[in-house]
Amino acid sequence: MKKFRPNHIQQLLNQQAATTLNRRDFLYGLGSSVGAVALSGLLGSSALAQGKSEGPLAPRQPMLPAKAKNCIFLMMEGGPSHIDTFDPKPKLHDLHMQKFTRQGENLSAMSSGNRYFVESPFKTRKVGQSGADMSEHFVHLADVADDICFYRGAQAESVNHPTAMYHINTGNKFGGEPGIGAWVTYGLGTENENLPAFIVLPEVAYPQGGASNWSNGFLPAYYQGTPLRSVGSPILDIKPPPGVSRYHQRESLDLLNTFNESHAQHHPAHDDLAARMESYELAFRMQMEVPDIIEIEQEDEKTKELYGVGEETTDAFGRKCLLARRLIEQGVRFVQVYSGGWDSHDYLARAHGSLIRSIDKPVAGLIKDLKRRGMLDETLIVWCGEFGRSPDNGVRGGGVAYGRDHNPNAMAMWFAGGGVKAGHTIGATDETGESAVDVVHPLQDVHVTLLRLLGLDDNKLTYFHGGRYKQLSQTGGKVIEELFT
Amino acid sequence: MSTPKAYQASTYLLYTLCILFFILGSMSCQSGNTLSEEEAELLFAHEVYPLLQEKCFACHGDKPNDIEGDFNIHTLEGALAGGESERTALTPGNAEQSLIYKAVTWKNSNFEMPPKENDRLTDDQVSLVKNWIDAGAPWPNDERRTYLVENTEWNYSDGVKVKTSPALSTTWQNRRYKPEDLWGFQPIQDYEVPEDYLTGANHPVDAFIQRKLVEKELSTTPIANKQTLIRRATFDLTGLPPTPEEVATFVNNTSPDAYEKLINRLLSSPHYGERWGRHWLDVVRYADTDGYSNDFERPNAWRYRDYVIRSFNEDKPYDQFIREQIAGDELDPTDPEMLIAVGYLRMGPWEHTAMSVATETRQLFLDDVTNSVGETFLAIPLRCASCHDHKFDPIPTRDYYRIQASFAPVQFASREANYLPSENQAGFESGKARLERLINEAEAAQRAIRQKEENAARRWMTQRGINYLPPKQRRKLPEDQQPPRFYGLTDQDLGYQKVLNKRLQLFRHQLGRYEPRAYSVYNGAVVENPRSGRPMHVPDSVSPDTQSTFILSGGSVHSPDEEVTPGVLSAIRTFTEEVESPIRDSIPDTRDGRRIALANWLASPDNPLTTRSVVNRIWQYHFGQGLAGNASNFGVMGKKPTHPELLDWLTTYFIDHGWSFKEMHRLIMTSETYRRSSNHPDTERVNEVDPDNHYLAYYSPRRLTAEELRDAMLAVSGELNTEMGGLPIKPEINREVAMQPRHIMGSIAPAYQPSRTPQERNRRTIYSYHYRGLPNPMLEVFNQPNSDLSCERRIASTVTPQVFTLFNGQNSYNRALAMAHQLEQKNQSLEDQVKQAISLAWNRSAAPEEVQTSADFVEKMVAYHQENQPIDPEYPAEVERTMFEEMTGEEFSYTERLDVYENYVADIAPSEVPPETRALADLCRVLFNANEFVYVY
Repeated sequence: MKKFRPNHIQQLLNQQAATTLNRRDFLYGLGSSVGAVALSGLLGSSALAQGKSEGPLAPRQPMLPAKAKNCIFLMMEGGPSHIDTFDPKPKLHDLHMQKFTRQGENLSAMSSGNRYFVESPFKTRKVGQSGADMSEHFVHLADVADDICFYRGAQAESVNHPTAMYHINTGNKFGGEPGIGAWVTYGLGTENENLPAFIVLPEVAYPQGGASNWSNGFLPAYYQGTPLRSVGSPILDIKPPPGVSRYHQRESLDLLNTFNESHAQHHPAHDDLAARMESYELAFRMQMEVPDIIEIEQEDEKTKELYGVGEETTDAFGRKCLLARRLIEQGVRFVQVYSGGWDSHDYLARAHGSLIRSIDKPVAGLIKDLKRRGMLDETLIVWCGEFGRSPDNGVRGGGVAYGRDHNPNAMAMWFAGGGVKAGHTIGATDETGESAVDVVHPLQDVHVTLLRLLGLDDNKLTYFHGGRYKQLSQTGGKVIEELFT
Repeated sequence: MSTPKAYQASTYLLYTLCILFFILGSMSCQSGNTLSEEEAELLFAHEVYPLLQEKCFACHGDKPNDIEGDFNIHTLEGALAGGESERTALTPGNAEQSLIYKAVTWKNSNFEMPPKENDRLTDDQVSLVKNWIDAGAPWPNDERRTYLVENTEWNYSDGVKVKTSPALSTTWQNRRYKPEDLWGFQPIQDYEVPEDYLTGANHPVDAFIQRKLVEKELSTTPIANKQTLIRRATFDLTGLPPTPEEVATFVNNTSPDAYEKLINRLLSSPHYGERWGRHWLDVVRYADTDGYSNDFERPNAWRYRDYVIRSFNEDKPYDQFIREQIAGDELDPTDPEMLIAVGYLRMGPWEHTAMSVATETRQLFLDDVTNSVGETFLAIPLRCASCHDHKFDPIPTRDYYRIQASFAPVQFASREANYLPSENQAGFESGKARLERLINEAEAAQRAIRQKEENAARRWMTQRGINYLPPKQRRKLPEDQQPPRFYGLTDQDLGYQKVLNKRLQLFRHQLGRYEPRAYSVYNGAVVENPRSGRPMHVPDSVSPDTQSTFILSGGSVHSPDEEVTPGVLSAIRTFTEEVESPIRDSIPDTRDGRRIALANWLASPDNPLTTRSVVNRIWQYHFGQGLAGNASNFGVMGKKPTHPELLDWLTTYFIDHGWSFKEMHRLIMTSETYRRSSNHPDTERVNEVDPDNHYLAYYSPRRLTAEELRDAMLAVSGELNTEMGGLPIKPEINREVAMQPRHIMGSIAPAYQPSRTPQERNRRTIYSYHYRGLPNPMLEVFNQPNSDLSCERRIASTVTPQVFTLFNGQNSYNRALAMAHQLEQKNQSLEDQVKQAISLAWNRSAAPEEVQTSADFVEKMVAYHQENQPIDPEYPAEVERTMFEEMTGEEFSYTERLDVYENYVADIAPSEVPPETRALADLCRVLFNANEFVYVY
């Protein structure tokens, strides 16, 4: 196995030190020699397979043996309720509309007024051979219940959306630090350097906190999450303004090359010039090819049907899940897929009901599709929100319109794919779902575990910044062993 | 034993020479030369045991029920027994055979201890372990160990102790530092210019540089030509390219002081403050919004931005600049400038909403400002010390909270501060009128929904035979006689009502822009319920209470421990008290005056961190890298200075010359070092010896920053509006990003609409509206830093999205077309147009073959454009928004009218010009993309 340290770290530290000199890091950080990447490289990675690339995004061996090589992170923004999805609480039926008092540190506006326990508006049943708990609205996911490892012990810290989002996404509640995908691609590089290594499929509206949720933070820019837009240009300005033809572009590019070549002769020692020149050629090719990769219409009808593409309820999220699979297939290392609007303070039944239905088939389709293609073992799927929801509510909307408020002490989370203990439910929350009580771990342990599932050691995956070696978990954490096969 | 000369002379380091000098480095190479048992015992008691305690015990023994790997290293027995591998971990007398030793060397990737990079043993510490094991690994019992510690003298060859305020742990308190790691904390040394190395220009800076180059056997590069020099200096000092006339004047001026005159002209240009102010704004994280959920506007923050620009242009002494930003309100609350300056304290992202926990957001501010002061002024980030004594630097947690205590009285307020004569109030009337119009519209829409609800309520009551009563009166009716809440409203109405509420909140808040207030602070008691997005004013009667400051266990506001009084970095105090420095730990614990005292400490000529850090920053901005490589970290983990003597010499010069930035620029820029060409004659040798150009044998080329790129394009196209200061303007940005819905709490933020006229849009980038939640994609891709973290130095990566933005982006097309249009107005022939285009863009005259190539290209493109009709950019009138109504989970849509576009003055469009202009524009766009435009040599 290729040794990860110290060369890799040293190389990255050197990058940190270099300003503009001695680097051949064009494209999303392509490191192979100029011209080595053929057009076909866009859809494959032949040059990389030959081991030529040494750029910041060159594929790297994991630090530790691991099954999963890629990750699809399904982010349910707003805080899906564990109680009404995968962690039923029959006790709440008995306590329904009885008074509840909140205690503890996280007192905020949500603690004020009269509060009542509320039962789940949904029925739950046991599914799969493993007998996993699932809300009645998960119809398709039940088919793959035995491929999933449910985890009930996670605890977030923050009760507030943007800080909780930053926390789950970057390990730091206050933002500004690298997203998980940035860390993973920093550690593993990518199999296809012609595409961004870390791709985000956001909702049309960005989540609270915006692009900081997938920022490269202090890591070099190559590791930044690139949002692929579901409407308009998939990557900003990948195409010239309307009316500009390929000929027009090519002629301009040729003139640019003439100027740049003559300029480079006057500055023979300035390495950046060649890299920058090559980046224009690759950009020109990318603008022809990238739209193809994201064109899911190329998929056969059965596959689209599997994800619920074309059905009103599931089309939007189905397309994103299908695109996530296509990207992973093309060698993208980390794809984060957003589903928004889970913040059901009121009308839990309607809001959560329709949200669950909107993701049920797409997520199940994703697992089934990866499985039949033999990709599930190499892919880690994570499903979670930024926190869970409370067993109680202020009942703002009246008796039938109740919802649930934010709850950092318990949350819904599951893993599927490479290396996870499929068909098990790990950990437990108390009888009302207010707090995790068994196999309890803070988010930093979840982060350490996630990295470990991908063959990365959080304690070694560090980057020197602001006077210390920074890591995703901030200060280190424990692997949640129970989640592994 | 190596004791660098520089440190021998100083009396401030509390160390003595070692008695066991052979323990370290030298020892480990000389096998066979083991310690006596007595020495090894001492080594264990004084060094190895504390090391085990610090690095190992937490996981391997402290918690008997939870011992990692089943390996307990609390005792010799445990160490000998080993862990789950069932192999002994310690073989006395043979380190190489001992697992403990192997683990701490980190040489086996499967077995590295301690596991965290941050806890990893230094080479010296590894040697200590080795020497102890090789000497038989004596492990005296606790009693004997304690006796040895208390009754024997122990000194450590390379280590010095630093006296600080009491630490949380005694191990930490006694720990030693390598003297060279503490370089930043040392007083500034008085160095002589090494005159033997003076070069032709007889310049002191060159002498220091030359000495190192000679040492490294590196030859230097000749002075750059005049075209190169004027372009370099002009971008460096103003962030703009020189005009062709300026280039010609300078190149033709053969007098010996032509270059000095150039520098002086540039230093007195108002654009100087815009360029160098930008550097400062990077460090302090300036933005026009709060960040987080709502990204609320900071309506008066621009006055701080202009204050910074003003300060640089006035060449405000740096010590004064510090005092104003830390304590302006305490210095003179009647001076608007002082109230504006102290806005620095609030530059970090911050928000408090109904969902936030007040104690936490308060602490968020206190932690932010404490760390920021360290990073900004001392080049020592302090956040690391908030949870535990600093892992690397001599900063106990107590110091962190003592510095924090100076900010305990600080409360936020938009304070009344009359506009200064120099402040730009353009656009106030029209801007205010627009906001009022938007408010009226939103209110009208809101009334319509309320009316609809009320009509439904009336119907509901009438149908049930209940006499209609207006809302307030019908509250008294029994519940079954009241219409249900929101009766008669659709999901659409419910959702849109919330959208309107949010718009009203935002617009009303933005009205604050037109009030003569400063984004500022005052001293007072903690405001119980602060809210972002609402005006915060100084209360009529300010309570005399002051928030107490506690050491927070684990950095958690919920775990206060010991109370502390205000103070400073005690490590510096111990260094300087013996040299009778005015820097003393004398911060009062009264409510007022803490910050003045802190500022005086920061701004003292005897504060070695502050003074060195600013000089190093100046050097960095001139050369691309500082003499010390981490401009915001002079701590143990920061890069050491490459030329420590030069750094100290410059620092002394800086202080002697009134803390003047401009004097430093003059000094540095007149050196040969600054004026060298970037083409070194012996590339091979340079790349081998000094690939990163630390020793400055040549001038490192640099890519223009994001702002310089945009500003230079505007300057070259002739569109740049050089008006200074005032309300932030909004350039056109990528339309998709502008229209991209952004979630804010409970709604979607209003769309980004650019300023209405080209005049407003084409201002310098420093005046553009800086959203935390919506970075300008063009600037972002060219490495403009986000405003959440302090940026000590811009990076310049080369990534493909840069090509997309610069080659394909609408901005480049628009600038190119404007430039072509101007070129045609001023030049008759294509040849002249091409020549002027090149001289504008590249700041030199065009070579004949370049003119030919360009003209050929333009003619070819004329033919193309004659055949092809252009498509003009379209401007939207409205945008559709779709979101989930939080209360019902139902999707709803609404239309946002884009009022600015209603009478928008667009840039010149392709269809408005003939094919010849479009073809010439194609050339201009290529010039913008050329490496010669993008790099400075």
